[in-house]
Amino acid sequence: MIAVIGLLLGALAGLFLEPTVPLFLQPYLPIAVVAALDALFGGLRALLDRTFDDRVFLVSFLSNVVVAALIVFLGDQLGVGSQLSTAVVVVLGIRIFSNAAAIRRHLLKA
Amino acid sequence: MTSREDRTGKDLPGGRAPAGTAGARRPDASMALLNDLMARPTDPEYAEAAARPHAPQTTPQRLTRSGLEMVIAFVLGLVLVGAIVSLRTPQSAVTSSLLLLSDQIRERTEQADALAKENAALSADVDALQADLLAENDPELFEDLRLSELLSGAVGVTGPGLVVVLTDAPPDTTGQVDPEKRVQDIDVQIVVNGLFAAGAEAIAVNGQRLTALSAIRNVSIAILVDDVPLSSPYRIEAIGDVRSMQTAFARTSAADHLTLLGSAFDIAVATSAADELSLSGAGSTRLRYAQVPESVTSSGAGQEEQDS
Repeated sequence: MIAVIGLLLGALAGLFLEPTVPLFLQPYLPIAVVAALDALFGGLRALLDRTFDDRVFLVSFLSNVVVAALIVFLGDQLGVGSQLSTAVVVVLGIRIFSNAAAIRRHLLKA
Repeated sequence: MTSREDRTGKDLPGGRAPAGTAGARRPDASMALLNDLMARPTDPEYAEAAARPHAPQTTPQRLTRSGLEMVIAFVLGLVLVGAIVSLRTPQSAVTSSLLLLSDQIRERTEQADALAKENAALSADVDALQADLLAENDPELFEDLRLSELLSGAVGVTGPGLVVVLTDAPPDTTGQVDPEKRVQDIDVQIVVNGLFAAGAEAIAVNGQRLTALSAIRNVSIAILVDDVPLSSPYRIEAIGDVRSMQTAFARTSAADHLTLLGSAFDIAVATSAADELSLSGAGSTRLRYAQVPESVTSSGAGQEEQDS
């Protein structure tokens, strides 16, 4: 729970402070945000499954973002950046969808 | 023994149920990735962490851990929202960079204009000084120089002549001018060539004096004369004997071309005679690489300007 509260506080602070992201990180932001969404939905589902764990949530969040950005960076270096970002987005998109479906089943029983 | 259940039971060792068992090779094993994605998207670590027995922790241990998690989560949330905020404002970045570019263009254009003006003033100074000095010391050479400058188009000239004005076709119903119906570089070239062939002694397009080194070319929709972008209407002024030029020009292919432009492309063509045209000079040109061959006699080789 601590992690969720911290995340919310950080998000609020981010809304007010509007931190600027360094220019060299800009290309990786969209993918990183999608990866973060994936981790968020995973955490929410675990919460509903009553298996939520702060440590696992934070580690998955952090590693998701870093790995996604790293893959895109690697792709950029190899000249297949856009294709690799598409691959990452497809995989994360499917995960987000099925997590959302599981959450929906939990909440609406339908 | 004939039932389907029995046969399946025989094939699998131990008679286990065919689906959902760990040891058996599933018929859709090659789809494992898709199955994993669709069927079990939650990170299994959550289940593992829940199943792991919790080691008893002392209060300070738990506090440090909670604090650490809090800090990490706070930073992650901050960065995430920062990323989202900066992703949501690309439009302004684009427009601001556009503004920056247009500002730069305006600034540079002003600089170029100022430099051109300075250049003109300086060359006028140089001319005046040269005239003073040369006229005093070597009147003959001064005459030569005057003639060379006049012939090469370096100085402004006045005289009677013809004026040909080419105007792009009017915009159609959508407010756009069909690129086909714009005046092209080739049109201006043909008219200029025709005028020279008809005996023109000096020609300027929209005030840009043509010399032996001039070029007329298209860049996108603009016509560049000596790298100066011009726009419609294009006013081509030619100094020469009006009467003979008119008749000679009417006989050239340029006249036919102008008729074609008017009839096929809606390009307005207006030709008129003028008693007094005043063309500016193109400034002194300096040849850096062209040299007079040794064997040539001086009669035809006095045209190029040395350091002026």
